[in-house]
Formats: sequence, structure tokens, C-alpha cells
Amino acid sequence: MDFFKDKKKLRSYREFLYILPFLALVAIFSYYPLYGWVYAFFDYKPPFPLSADRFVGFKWFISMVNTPTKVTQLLNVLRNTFAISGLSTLFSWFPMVFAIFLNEIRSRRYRKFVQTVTTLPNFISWVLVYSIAYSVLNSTGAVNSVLTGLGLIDTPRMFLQSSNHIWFKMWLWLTWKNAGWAAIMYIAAISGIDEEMNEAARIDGASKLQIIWNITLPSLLPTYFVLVMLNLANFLSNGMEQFYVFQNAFNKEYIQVLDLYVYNLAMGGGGYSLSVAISILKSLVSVILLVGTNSLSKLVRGEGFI
Amino acid sequence: MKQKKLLSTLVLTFLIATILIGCSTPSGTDPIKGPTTKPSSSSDQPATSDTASDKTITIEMFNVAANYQGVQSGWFAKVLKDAVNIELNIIAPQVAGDAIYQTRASAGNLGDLVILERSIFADCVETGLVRDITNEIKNCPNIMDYKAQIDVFNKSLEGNDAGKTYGIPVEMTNTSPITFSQDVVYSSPQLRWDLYSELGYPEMKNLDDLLDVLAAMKEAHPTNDAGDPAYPFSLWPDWDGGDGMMGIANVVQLTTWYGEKIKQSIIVKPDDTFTDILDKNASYYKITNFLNKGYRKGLVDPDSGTQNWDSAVAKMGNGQVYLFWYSWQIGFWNSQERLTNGNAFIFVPVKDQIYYADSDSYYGSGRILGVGSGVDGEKYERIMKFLNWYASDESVMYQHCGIEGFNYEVRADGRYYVKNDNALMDNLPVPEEWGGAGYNDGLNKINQWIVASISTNPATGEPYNTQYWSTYKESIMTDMKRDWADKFGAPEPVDYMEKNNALLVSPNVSITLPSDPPDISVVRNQCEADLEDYTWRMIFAKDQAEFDSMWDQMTGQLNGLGFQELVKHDKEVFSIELDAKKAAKAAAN
Amino acid sequence: MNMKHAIKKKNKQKLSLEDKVIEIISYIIYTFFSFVCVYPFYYIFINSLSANDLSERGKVLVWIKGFHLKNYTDVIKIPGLLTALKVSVARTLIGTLLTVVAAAFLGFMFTQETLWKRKFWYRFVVATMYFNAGIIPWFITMRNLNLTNNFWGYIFPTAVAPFYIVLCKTFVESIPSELQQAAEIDGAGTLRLFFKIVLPVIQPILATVAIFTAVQQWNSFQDTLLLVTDSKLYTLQFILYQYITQASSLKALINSGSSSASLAASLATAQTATSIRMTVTIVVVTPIVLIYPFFQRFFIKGIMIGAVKG
Repeated sequence: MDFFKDKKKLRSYREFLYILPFLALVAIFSYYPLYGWVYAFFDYKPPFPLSADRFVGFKWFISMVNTPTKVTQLLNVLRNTFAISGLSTLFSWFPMVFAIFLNEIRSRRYRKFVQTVTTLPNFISWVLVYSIAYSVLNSTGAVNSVLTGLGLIDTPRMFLQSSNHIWFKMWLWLTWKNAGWAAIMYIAAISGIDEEMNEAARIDGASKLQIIWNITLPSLLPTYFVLVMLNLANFLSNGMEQFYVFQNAFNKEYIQVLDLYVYNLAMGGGGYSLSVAISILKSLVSVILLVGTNSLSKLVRGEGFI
Repeated sequence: MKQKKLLSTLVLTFLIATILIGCSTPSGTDPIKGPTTKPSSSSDQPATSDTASDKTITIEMFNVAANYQGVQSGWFAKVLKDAVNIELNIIAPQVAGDAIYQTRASAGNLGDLVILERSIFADCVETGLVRDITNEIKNCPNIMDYKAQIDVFNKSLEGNDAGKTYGIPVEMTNTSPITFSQDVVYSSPQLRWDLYSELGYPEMKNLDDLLDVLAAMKEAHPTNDAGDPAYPFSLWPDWDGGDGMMGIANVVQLTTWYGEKIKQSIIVKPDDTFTDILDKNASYYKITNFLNKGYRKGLVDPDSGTQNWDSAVAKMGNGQVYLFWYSWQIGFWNSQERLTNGNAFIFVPVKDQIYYADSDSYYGSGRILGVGSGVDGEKYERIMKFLNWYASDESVMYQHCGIEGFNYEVRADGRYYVKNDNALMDNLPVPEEWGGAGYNDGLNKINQWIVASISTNPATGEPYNTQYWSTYKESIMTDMKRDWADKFGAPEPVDYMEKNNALLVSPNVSITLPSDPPDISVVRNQCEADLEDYTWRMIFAKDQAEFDSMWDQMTGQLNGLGFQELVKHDKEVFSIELDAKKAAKAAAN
Repeated sequence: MNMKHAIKKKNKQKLSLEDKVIEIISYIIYTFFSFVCVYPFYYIFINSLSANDLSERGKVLVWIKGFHLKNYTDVIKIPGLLTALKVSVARTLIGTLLTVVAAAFLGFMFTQETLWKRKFWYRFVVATMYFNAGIIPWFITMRNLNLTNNFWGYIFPTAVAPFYIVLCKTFVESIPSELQQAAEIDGAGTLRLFFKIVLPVIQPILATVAIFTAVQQWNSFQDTLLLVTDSKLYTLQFILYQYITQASSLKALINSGSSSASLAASLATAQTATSIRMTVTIVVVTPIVLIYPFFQRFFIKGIMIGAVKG
């Protein structure tokens, strides 16, 4: 018995040794540079080195909320961030459903075609997306020409200048760009399903919807669940490129998300410390959300995902 | 069991080995492609002779003016190699982003040569990133021609009581700090001459008259010849911010029509006093309101708030815009053919305007060239040799006029004539002996000169700039220009302005202003973003009442963000410069 | 095999009405979505071949107008393109290989209950997804490790990618546990289990990770911007990025002096930043689209657990 135990322990250490090199990489490239978080507590401006007289404590953290105007602005930014992150979480099942129904199409060629072309938008940079959007949606663009030609509107609509439904529009753009790409993960997961189960179900006379509901969906849920949880922890990060290219003076109030706000603030030489401070806060929030969703998962599914 | 152990050991060894190779390989040896040498000391060709100076040295240059990152290629690379046997590898924050400055500066080495903004340069001197070149610069006779200007700059560095030399200002001229040598000012109203003459050359007393003229043009020609809608104003938002001025770029430039100059959050008035940008009696309000009035008359392109610079340029080149205000903007429309046909753009005065202009950059443009502190020995010698050459007449001709025999020639009458005028535009191939490739491809990528192009060439008595050569001016003279000259009684716009007391030349001074401390920088970014957003919305305001209420809202918002703090800071900073300008003016009178 | 074929055929004939309706709706939706995805790309393609001023004014929507190849010939003429291509291919291949190996191995190891402090180390890796140290300490770390101006600077920092590890781990967990248990009873150790049992089964997810990483590596230029000054290590994306920036940073060029003003202005009419961007997009995406079907092979067939078991 003792011998068995020792052997088990030995194995457990040996396995640790296998992954040690990789853990070392993580430590070196992800943890070691975190010493840079101290910059958040200084008035840091390159090339001046850190020194005690530049220590400012929590000044940068406080500076985000030290006047009513700034608080309003920050709340505004958080509202946008929540709206857009909320929308994408709410519709996060879309790539999965996209993959499931695509898989049900029998023509292999068509399937391959759809799979390939729907990944294309992922490769178009946001800057280029905007210039296409602009050339189609500007006051003399194709959309306005068609609409005025049909007599539906008298004067050209300024689509890009309006802040109506901007969150929804941003979500649409994002889905258009990412859905096909994200579906790859689910397509892969579907390929992992035991083909024999499908065959058996089919022989039993199950309809497509029944197969999807009883076999495909349950096997994809673990992947889906983990991805949603990981994304939830990233609630505060929407990226900034998309919003940067689509922002203008007229829709800024509704389009400015936290990442864009930080970018706009920290430009130039003096913003470094502030941007580090915000990034620390974001990490904290993420970790709290991660722990939160994990305990939630334990409650609901009986097991955590991390 | 044995096999298993062996396998696991092998995998482990492999993994550790890869990591060790990766981390410990000196940067010179690339495991993939065999040994390569460090860029800072590499040479493409092995030394063919035993003397050290025959070896090509690669110089790394950190250059805020360049919009190209990488090794200089083409004909200018050949010129550099022949003259001082160096290869230039440029690091450009304009390409790589601000982060490259932050990272390299924090790491303590920017490059072998640096071109930085003045205040940043001062920071780098203070932290020891820039080398003292006091002794060696004395042996550079070409640079010593500008000793006066160089000394003034270096003495202005904080803590440099010993009078050491660290940097060389770039774009210095050999004229004077109060001369204005150019023919046009940077910003002034420019109209299509054919459209203006169609209206019978109406005299314009103020901005309202200008709007009336533009409205008449728009009414007579709602579209260009091809039928695309045309507007007097077509603005673009993607240039906003930066250049040491707050507010949207299009408005900021137009404020100089009333002799006012925006310096960050404050405005310097013609009488040398300060006011802040939110002052309703100052030009930022006036011009924003002017654009809004234009909008209300239907003169502003509805896409102005969303189009980018590329789209705006396409419209300028397509005849869809009737008012230009940057001096270079005419380049998108004017051609020799259009000048001959009389439908080109040219300055048309508005009587109540006084145009602000910065004088010749006698003390330099504000950027400084220096040598990195890590440089020593042979490389240092070569760099000093390069710097001296860079300021020589021979080199300046290459920089501003191109290759003799290809871009210009000296004819029997001893005068200089421009050749292949379109070399840059069409990227003409240069002769083989200059390394081939396109002229534009091989252009000097440093994009910054010790001697400015407006400086007088001692050989001709004219500026180096080819556009100012009398031979060139004769060759492009047209009826339209003669017509214009008759009408306004002056050969060039600046002559007209001088004659009518409508030119306000701000003297060039050499002052190093402190860079923004972090707090101020953040407040500035925040205020600037809101100022820009509000300004755009105000341009598109429905009526005057809405315009004014937005202005008041904006004032409240900015004050809430600490705008007054910013103004106080800027006033303190810029009063140093203003005092120097006053002194320069007084000295000249 | 014949049996199976027969069954499939039989199934095809027996499509119920419900199934048919679903299929028709699917076709309509997927065709629409495909069009929405293809058109912008088609738009980029025809515009990159059209006269730049027409393109800039949004006049090219259906077919090429003012055909010319200058945009492409100019891209080909960029100096150093070939070297950069080699570096890009090298970093894509090596980087992808390493990342996939790390993701597969770690994804598998983190499912092994026996691993010492398994949960802790898994969290240790996953948490890094949410940390951002900032650019300065990152650069200084890279410099201290001698990874500036070093090819391996492209590879090592991204080798262990937590997101892909999570993906792989989830996939490994979905494999019926009997498979591993059977092997363990046969006396297979950890590594043997991984190579002989798990690796063959998780191919679809490895293909996914490979695609994601390869595209990431292929498209990456930020690291080159900050870490590399040696032109021999420039990547294709970096060179193209720089080519684009050059065209779009005309502001500084024009503002830099009265002399360059009108010349620079006329320069801008020759090529616009947008036309360059479009051309570059086509140049960069084409290889990806060509290689993609190769990866798709791994998705087509559902695996036969039974076959592996037997």
C-alpha cells in the first residue's frame, strides 16, 4: 500500500516536471513583468527613472473620480461598456448555433464554402471596415442613393453620425466580423462527437432537431460554457479599435467604452501611470468576476471550470 | 519502463534546451538563419581594405520627424555611402507609435543619433541619454557656420552652466529671426480664380462677405463638372489634436487669419497678450461660429464630421471643394494646365484680416539633433563626420534640390534650372549610376535638415528651395497670375499682405519649454477630447441659440475637468516664449 | 463501411418535412450571411484594381473601374519583401508548432488528477489572460532576456497561450474516460497516454488552435515594431504596415515645411492610404484563404471513438 502511494506521488511530481518548462515561460513572460505595476503609484514619465520623490500613492486611482464631471464621464463610459459587453454575452450562443446548423447541411462543398467565406471579415482591419462602411453609407453613398432613388427619404441620412441604436450596430459589426471565425471552435468540437451516436439516433428515426437537441448541443455545451465564463471575466474589455474607428463627435457619448476612454486619456507622454492604474483595476475586476462565475458554476453544474 | 523514462527524459531535455537556446543566444546569432551581426555594428560587405574608415558603419537613428522605419535605400543611400560610408537605419515613432519612445527611453538607449522635440531632448540630456559633443563639434566647420544658433539653444538647457554642447537644432536658416522669406503664409483664404472672377471679383470686408461669395459660388455651381456635389467647406476630423494646439485642426488653422495663434489651451493675441481658447471674443469662437454659419447656409459638406483625410483629399482633387485654407492644399488641385486655364486656386484677401506667420526658422524648427550617449570610438568619429557633411553645401543641395543633371542643371548663363519637375510625383527612375530605383523611393528619409530649404544658397543668392528659383518662377508664370498681380498690386500674396499691413510675423526664438508633467498631460487629453467633440457638434448646430448654449455647456464641462488649471499652466509656460518674442521684436526695431 | 454507406443513403431518402424546412431555411440564412461576408472582400478586391481616385470617392461598387495594377506592382517593389516573407513564414511555422504542442500537452496535463497541485497551476496559467503588465516592463524584460533583435522574441512570449490550453483541456475532458482508463490499466504512463491515446483523438481542436495561432503569428507586427531594429528580422506584416503608415502619415510630411508642401500634396494623389490598405489586405489574406482548406480536412470527419477503442 505504501509503495503504491509513493509511486503515485512520484508520478505526480514527475508530471509536474513535464509541465515545469512551460510554467517557467508563463512566469517569465507573464508574471515577472508585473513588477511594472508599481508605475501606477508614481508620477512616471520616461526617460526619468523612478525615484522616491515621484511616489504619489493612490493619486492616479483617485484622479479618475475626483471631480463630479469625471465621475459622470466614467459612469457614462461604464454604461457603454456594460451595454456592449452585455449584448455580446447575451448573443454569445450565435457562433455555436451557426456551427450546429451549418453542420447539418449535407452538401459538403457548400459547407466548406460557407465556412471559408464567413471567416473573411475577420481579416479585414477595422480601419478598412470603416472606410468600406463610409463609402457605402456616406451622404452620396450607395445606400443613400438607393433610398432617395426609391423616394423613401428626401435628404440623405447621416448613418455614421447618428448615435441611434449605436450599441446594437456595434454588436452587429462585431458579430459580422467574428461569428464565422469563432464558429471554427464549435465546428472542431462537433467533429469530436462520436459519430456512432449520430448514426444510432438516425437509425432510430430521430429528426434533425432531435439529434441537435439531444446529442450535438449537449456535447458542445461544456466548450460554450467555459468560453462564456472566460469572456464574462473580460467584461470590462471590449477592445478599442472598433470603437476608435467608428467614434465621432456625434456618437461619442454612447460609443466610448472603457478601453477607448483609457486610450484617449493616456495618449502622450504623461499618461503611462494612469493607464497602468486602470489596467490594475481591470485585472482585479476580472479576477473577482472569474472567482464569482466559478463559484456560480459550482453551484449550478456542480463543478467549477477552473 | 525504461523506454518510457527515456522518452520522458528526451522530451524534457528538448524543452529545456529550446528555452535555453532562445533565452541565452546572443542577439547576434540567429539560430534560424545562422549568424547575423548586431545592426548597430553590422556591415553588409566585408571590409575590402585594412583602413578602418573603409568599413561601412550602420547608424541607428531615432527620428521623430521620419515617417519611414528601416534602412535608407535608393539614391540617397548611395550618396551617404559615398560621402561618409555609412548606412542609416531609422527608428520612427511616427511608424512605431509613442510606445517605442517610452520603451527605449526607459531602457536607456534611444539610438546612435536622435532627432527629438526640444523639450523631450532636454529631458534626455538631463537623464544622460544624449552625449556631450562640445569638443568634437568644433572640428565641424560646416556646422560651425551656425554656431550662434547652436550656442543659444544649448545655453537654454537647464543646468548647462558649463556651456556644453549637446544638440544641434534642425532647419536653421542663414537669414534672420524676423525675416519672412516665403511667398505665401501657412493659412489664408484661397478661392478658385475662375469662380471668383465669374462673380465680378467682389471685394470682401469680413467673414460674412466671404460666406456670401462662397454661397454665390455654390449656387452657381452646386456640382463640379462631372456632376458630383460640391461644397465650399469640406472638413475632416482625423487630424484633430496634436501640434501643440488644442481644438479641431480645421478651426485652429483659420484662427491665424486674425493674427491670433493658439498655443495649447491659450491664444496669443496680436497685441502680445494671452487669453484662453474659451474666450468668446477670441478667434476660436469666431471661426467655429463662421463654420456654423456656413453650415446653416448649406455650405458645409454633410460628410465633414465622418470622412477621413483620404476622402477629403479625393474631393479636393475632384473639384468638389471651393475654399482652401492650407498653403499646401492647392497642390491637390492646381496644375500648370489649370493655372494656364485660369481655374486654379489662389489667395484672395478679406479686408479685416491680419495673417499670422512664423518667421524663418533661424534658430531651428524646434526639433534637435543629437548623438546617443552609448556611442563611442570609431562610430562616434564617423557620426561627427556625417553631421559635418550633412550641413555642407554639397549635401544641402542633395537634400533640397536632388541630383544635379537629373533634378536640376546649371546652364551656360550660370543660372540654375529645374529639370524633371515631376520626379517626386511620378517617382521617376533615377539614372543607374545613382543606384537606379525611383526618385521618391530613394528620397532622404531623415526628413529633417540642419539647413532649411528657405536658406539662401550662397552660390545663387536665392533660396535652396527650387520653387523660389527665379528661373522656375519665370517658367510657371501665367495670365492668371498676372491678372491676380494686377488686381491686387503685388507679385505674390505675401507682398500684398506686407503692403497692406496684413501680415503679422512672429519672430523666431530659441526657448526650451518644459514638457507636460503627468497630471497636466492627462487633464489636457481629457479637455482636448471634449473640446473637439463640442466644436464639431457646434459646427453642425441648427441655429445661433443652439450654438451658444452648446458653447456654454462646453465651458462648464471643461472647467469641471480642470481646464483653468491647464490654462494657468500654459500661461506660465508660454509667457517665457512670449517674452523672448517681444525682446526679439524690440531688438529688431 | 458498405453497411454504413447504405444506411446513409437510406437516411437521405427518408428526409422528413420538418428536416426539409430546416434545411431550406438554413440555406437561405447561410447564403445571405455568406454574401454579407464576401461582398466587402470583393469590394476590397475590385477597388484595389480600380483607379484610386474613383475608389476613394466610393464609385467602385460592382465592377472594376479604371483598371490598373499599379497598387500591386508598387507593393511587390517594396525593398526587403522576400526576406520579410521568409521571416514571416518561419515565425508562423515555428510559433504555431510550439504553441500547439504547448496547448495540447498542457491541456492534457491539466486533466490529469495525479498532477501535483493541478488546480493551482491551471489557475496560475489561466489568470495571465487577465493581467497586463504594461509595455515598459515587458520591453525591459525582453531586452534583459536578449530577445530584442532576436528571432525567438517572436516565438517564446506567445508559446504558452492560456486560452488555447483551456480549449484543449475542455476537449480532452469530452473524450469518454474509458479510453484513458483502459490504457492506464494496460500500464501506459502519462506521456504514452498523451501520445498514443489522446493526441490522435484531439486533432480537430489542435487544427483549430493551429489556425488561430498561425493567423495570429502571420498578422502580428506590434512585436516587430518595438523589439526589432535589424531589418533582417522584419516580418512581412511589419513591412506592409510601415508601407501603409508612410502613406497615412503625410500630415507630418506636409506640415514639416513650406518647401515640401505642394510637392507632398501632389504626391498624395498618386496613391491613397485606403487603396494601399486594400491592396495589402488582399496580399496578406490570400495565402491564408488558400491554406485554410488544408486545415478544414481535420473537421470534416467525425471521429470514431469505437474505432479507437477497438
